[in-house]
Amino acid sequence: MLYFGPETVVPIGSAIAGAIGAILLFGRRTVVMVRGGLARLFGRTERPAEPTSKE
Amino acid sequence: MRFSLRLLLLALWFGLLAGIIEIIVVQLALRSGVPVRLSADYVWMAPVADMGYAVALAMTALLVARWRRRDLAVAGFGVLCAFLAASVAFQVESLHRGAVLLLAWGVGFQASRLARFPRIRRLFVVVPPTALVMAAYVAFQGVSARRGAAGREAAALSALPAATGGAMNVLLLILDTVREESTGLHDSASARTPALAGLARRGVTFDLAVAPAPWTLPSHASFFTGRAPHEHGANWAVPLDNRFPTLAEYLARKGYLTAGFVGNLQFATRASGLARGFVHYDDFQVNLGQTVLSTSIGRALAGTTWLRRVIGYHELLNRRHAGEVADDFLAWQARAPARPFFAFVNFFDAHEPYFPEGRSGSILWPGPKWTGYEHVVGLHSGANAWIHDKWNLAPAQVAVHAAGYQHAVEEADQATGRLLAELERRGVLANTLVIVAGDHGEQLGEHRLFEHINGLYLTPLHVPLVIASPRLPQGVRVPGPVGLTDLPATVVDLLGVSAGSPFPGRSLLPLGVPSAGGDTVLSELKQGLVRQGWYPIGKGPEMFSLLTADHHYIRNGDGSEELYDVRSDPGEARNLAADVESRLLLSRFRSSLRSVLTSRSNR
Repeated sequence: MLYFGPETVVPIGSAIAGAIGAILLFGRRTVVMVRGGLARLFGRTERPAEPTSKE
Repeated sequence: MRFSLRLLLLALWFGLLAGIIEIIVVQLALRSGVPVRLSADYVWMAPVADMGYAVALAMTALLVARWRRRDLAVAGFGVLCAFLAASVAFQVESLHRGAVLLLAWGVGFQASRLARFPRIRRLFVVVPPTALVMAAYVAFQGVSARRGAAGREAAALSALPAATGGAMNVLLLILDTVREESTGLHDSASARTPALAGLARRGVTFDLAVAPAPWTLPSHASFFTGRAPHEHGANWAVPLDNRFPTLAEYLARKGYLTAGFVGNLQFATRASGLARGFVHYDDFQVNLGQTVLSTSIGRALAGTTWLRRVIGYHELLNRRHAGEVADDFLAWQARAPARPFFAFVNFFDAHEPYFPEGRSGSILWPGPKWTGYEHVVGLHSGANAWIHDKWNLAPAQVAVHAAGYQHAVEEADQATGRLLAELERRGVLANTLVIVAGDHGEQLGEHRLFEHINGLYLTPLHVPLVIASPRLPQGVRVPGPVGLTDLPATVVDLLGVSAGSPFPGRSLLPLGVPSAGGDTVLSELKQGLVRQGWYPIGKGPEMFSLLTADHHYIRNGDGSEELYDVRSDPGEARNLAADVESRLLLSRFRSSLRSVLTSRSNR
């Protein structure tokens, strides 16, 4: 078997491979999905617009 | 042509292309000095296996496309492009498998979109002729590999000089990962390993034989060169180089027919540099498991824990059992030309993964479900999470683990007995110097450690050593410590060819007479694959130990020291290094270590 290094997982390489895969799959939507994921992760949700009064 | 046939042809094309890319990657790795632990037959095994995977995927796509009424060309082309992307990305074994699969999925998705364009589909016309060219290339590579190996062996055989009449054969049988304590050589439990006990009655047994390193490659390299690990430098990604002559080279120059038969396909193959000097070297076999492991996808699948658990198969895919290695050696010996031989045989059965109930993979495990595959993961990926897990094993679990190891040791002993009995039946044993030794031991929870490679306590260093021949005294024991680095000097001394020998060290049986032993024996371990902080080797880049008849001194990589009285405390439970009374002794060991390292480095 090939031996590439003492530890097996290269995080940066894996992240790049995964990002390329996501872009190929979702295209421009990748950015929107990542942004939405980050917003959800850090708890920042977009505030819904103020309901207009129908009174 | 029906499209299903065209899809089949397309699958073969993709398989061939993936295989050829694997060949190119391996060639590049070899040129850049990266050890590649693959059979020389990978040049045809990889394309064959890749074609198998591609055809299986294409047929799956065919079934799905018919079921879902999708365009077959779109589905097939997408799946095969995803396969090719995965095959290429898995070449980098350090990439996370999930990331590779995501990348492959993305490539396949885009490829399937492209396949909708007629202009792209028209390109498929190049598939049949290019497939033929690629198939011819693979066939040429395969035939060249086979012919090259046979040609090299024939040339080496014809270059051997005439041997001295009546010269004794040498059989060096290494029991990989067999620790002395588990053999029954040291106590009355000879029933554990009756073959080894029987050999001990016919020869000289060394009660405290010590390995130069707690793992295979540096130990074997020392057995062959007579040099300490820091001298020969063989290590994780560094094979044994050509600086020092090997025992096989020396004996070949004396007219010996030299041959190696190895079960350890990790660190004892040609890639390790240990094959130098052997006319015949038998390592990787042609079988299904090896074919699967010749491909990046096969290796990724074999290393996928959940898949192993689902299948329930945890054995190494290319395991060579001791019985098979023994059979191959015996078959070679039966057809070998009439010359004295030097045969190196390595039995790998006692190496993890080992299973309490044989190798079926079904284990009576007291506690949460456990599989032997964690051992494989630890061994091959370097993640070693399994060792961390073992920290919390209950005594009953350790006992099961130890039973698996004992079973494996006994399997190796059975093969040893069969091999020696057959040589005796052939009348060969009467003129053979037999050396049976371990290359390193194994920890089964001592010091909360498992396996080997992680420290220099006595358990992973203390190995069996029996030397027997009709010309040696029988049933003799040597109590004091001896180092296995002295094996080459011992062999040439016992064969009477020590004049002009390039091997340093001293004969363990000068003039065939056992001495009391009592050497100061050096062992070493460099950090590499295993560097987790909880291991002794995790403390620093390299560690050394010196063993005398009374004490074991260990210097860790961070400069900390350990000292054990091995006569009163053979389990090394009480570290005496901090005791005031040990100061003088420690000072002597420090000086001795400096002296040993300096003198050996200057030779």
